[in-house]
Amino acid sequence: MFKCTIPMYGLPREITELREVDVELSDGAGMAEVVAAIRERVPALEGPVIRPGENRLMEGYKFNINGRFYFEGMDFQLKSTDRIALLVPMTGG
Amino acid sequence: MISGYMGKLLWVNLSSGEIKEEIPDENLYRDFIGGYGIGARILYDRQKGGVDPLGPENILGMITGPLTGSPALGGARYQAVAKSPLTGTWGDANSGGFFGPYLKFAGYDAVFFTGISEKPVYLFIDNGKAELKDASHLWGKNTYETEDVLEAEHKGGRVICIGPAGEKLSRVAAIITHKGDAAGRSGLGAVMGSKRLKAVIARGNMQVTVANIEAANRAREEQIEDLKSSGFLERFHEYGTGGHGDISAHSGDSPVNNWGGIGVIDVPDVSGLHRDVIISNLDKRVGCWRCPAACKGILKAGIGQYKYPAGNHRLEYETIGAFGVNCGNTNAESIEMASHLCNAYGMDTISAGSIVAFAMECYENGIISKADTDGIELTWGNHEALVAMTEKMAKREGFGDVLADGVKIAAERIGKGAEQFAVHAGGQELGMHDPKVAGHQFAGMPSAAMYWMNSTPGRHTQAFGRPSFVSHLNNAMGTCMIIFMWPTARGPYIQRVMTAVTGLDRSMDELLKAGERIANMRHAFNLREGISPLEHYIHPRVYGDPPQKDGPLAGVTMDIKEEAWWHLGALDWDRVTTKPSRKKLLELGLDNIAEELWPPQETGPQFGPGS
Repeated sequence: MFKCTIPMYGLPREITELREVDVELSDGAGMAEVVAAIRERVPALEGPVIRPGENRLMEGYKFNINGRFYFEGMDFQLKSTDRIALLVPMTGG
Repeated sequence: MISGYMGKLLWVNLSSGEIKEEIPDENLYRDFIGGYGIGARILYDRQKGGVDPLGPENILGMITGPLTGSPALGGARYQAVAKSPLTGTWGDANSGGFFGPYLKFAGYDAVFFTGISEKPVYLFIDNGKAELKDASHLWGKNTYETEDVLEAEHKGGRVICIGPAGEKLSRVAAIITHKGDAAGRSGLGAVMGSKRLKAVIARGNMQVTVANIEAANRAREEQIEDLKSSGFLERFHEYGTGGHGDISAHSGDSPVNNWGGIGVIDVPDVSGLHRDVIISNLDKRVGCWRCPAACKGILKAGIGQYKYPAGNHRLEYETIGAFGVNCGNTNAESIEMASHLCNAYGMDTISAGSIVAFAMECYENGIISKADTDGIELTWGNHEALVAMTEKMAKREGFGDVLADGVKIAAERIGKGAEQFAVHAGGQELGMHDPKVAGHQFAGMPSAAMYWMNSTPGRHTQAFGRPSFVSHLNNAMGTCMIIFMWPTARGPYIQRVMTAVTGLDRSMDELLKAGERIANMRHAFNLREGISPLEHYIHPRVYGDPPQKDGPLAGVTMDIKEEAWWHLGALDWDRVTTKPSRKKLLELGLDNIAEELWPPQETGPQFGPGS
């Protein structure tokens, strides 16, 4: 297990008023585990950012892990040395 | 005549004063829909390659779409087209407001201008008749005054015009309507200024025919219901695009400090850009012609440090981004002042703000000093300096004259290594959306290449590759890319509404084919100019070379060459020359372009052993 700090940007930050969230993850944690950990730690994100009742991100949200993006439907294996952030969909105009 | 269209184009020769109507072949409308689709076809056919963008041979057009002035939601738009003096490429710019519908009510789908007038003039289009009138009393006036004078003189008309920036041929000059709706990109305000054309005013009571009015109205009602039930209509009415300046400043969306900073680190407090601050001086909400969102706003007079006049438009996101954190600035009032200056003098806010950011970085790095900048201390976040320099640029005064033609030309004028801070794509400053954060989402997969490869480089609203087809289709139809194209439960509405208005029952595939044809047409214009988008300059900060070390975009570098390669393949454009294949051009019905780009190979006598 390792402690992982996940910075929040944009809407997640606004909703939670947190700059970052600390979660406990197992070595090689995948998308579902990371989302579950965030969901448990910050229930307010369920709905706007996390699909209600599921460990899946809403459409458009993504993780930036070491400079690569991972959306719902993609997976990864997180290590304690990886850098991860939660990013929002872009809005325009 | 196909419904939705007025069936007439107006041609004005500013050199001779001759005005005539053209009734085009219906195929022009079927194949190119409207807007810059029709514009690209006409300019390609009627002007040769290599013209001076500020000379008499550059054709300037204003073109509506079949849904402009119809029951379609957001059917209020027109596009301006010409060869761009900023990039030397195809140029187009898109605007809302009221002029588009009023041009149609005056009897025309489009108006094109050739030549150069000896004296300042404006065109008055009145219910099927058009007249060039003396504009010497308007030359030098800002866009607000110009609109007021002309709309008082020709009651019931709606105006598009240039301000002093366009008159003085600033290559980032815009064409303004409704005192703050801009056809901003591509420097087309300078083209209008080069022709001494101050304004166009249109009025009339002709109907835009609709093939099936019940179906069109029903689609409109359902689309409004959908947008209401998702909550989008109310949110958008409340704040417009000004609702996310602070969020974007920290999410990686907005570029920061001339594309070189990180929002959460360099501008940690963005509360000054919160949506409630942006509407804090609002007088009333207004919108484009017949739009139920009415997403725009009019401000009361500024009463703080910056005394802008009542009637100044509420800020849009691009302006907030460009004059905001891209200059390290979070003072909303100063952005409102800069926006007013751009609207009144007629400059594109994206380019103007980006130029100030460039100048700030040059100043911070000692490339320019107070001696160059007329004493103005262009440091990050110095909002007084930002406003002062914007005004100088608008008037082409002092150092503002050096900056008034965009960052690329300014860097050439300044020298001393300034080009390292000139963030542009193909000569045009970029929209305020960092493509690195969008990744797959904004313009389809992948997207960072969109700024680089767009036929009007630096644009962020048209995508590149196959995802651009629906964008070109929407623009050519004359509808708003936000309100008409927003994802809804019963949408998309494109096919339904186009069928109801035009009476042509075309599938979505056929309509997208028109979008593809438009993409190829714009590109063909550039190829004829000898321009391949792969050769455009694009500043490495745009694609993350080197990547940022912190913040939401830490570690992200987009491989734009791979993206371009991918898109070019999907378009069936050659991956080295970017020429569309002959097969693709013939499939799109662009036979004459196929012949020009792929002339038949001459086969002469065969020489060799035994001949």
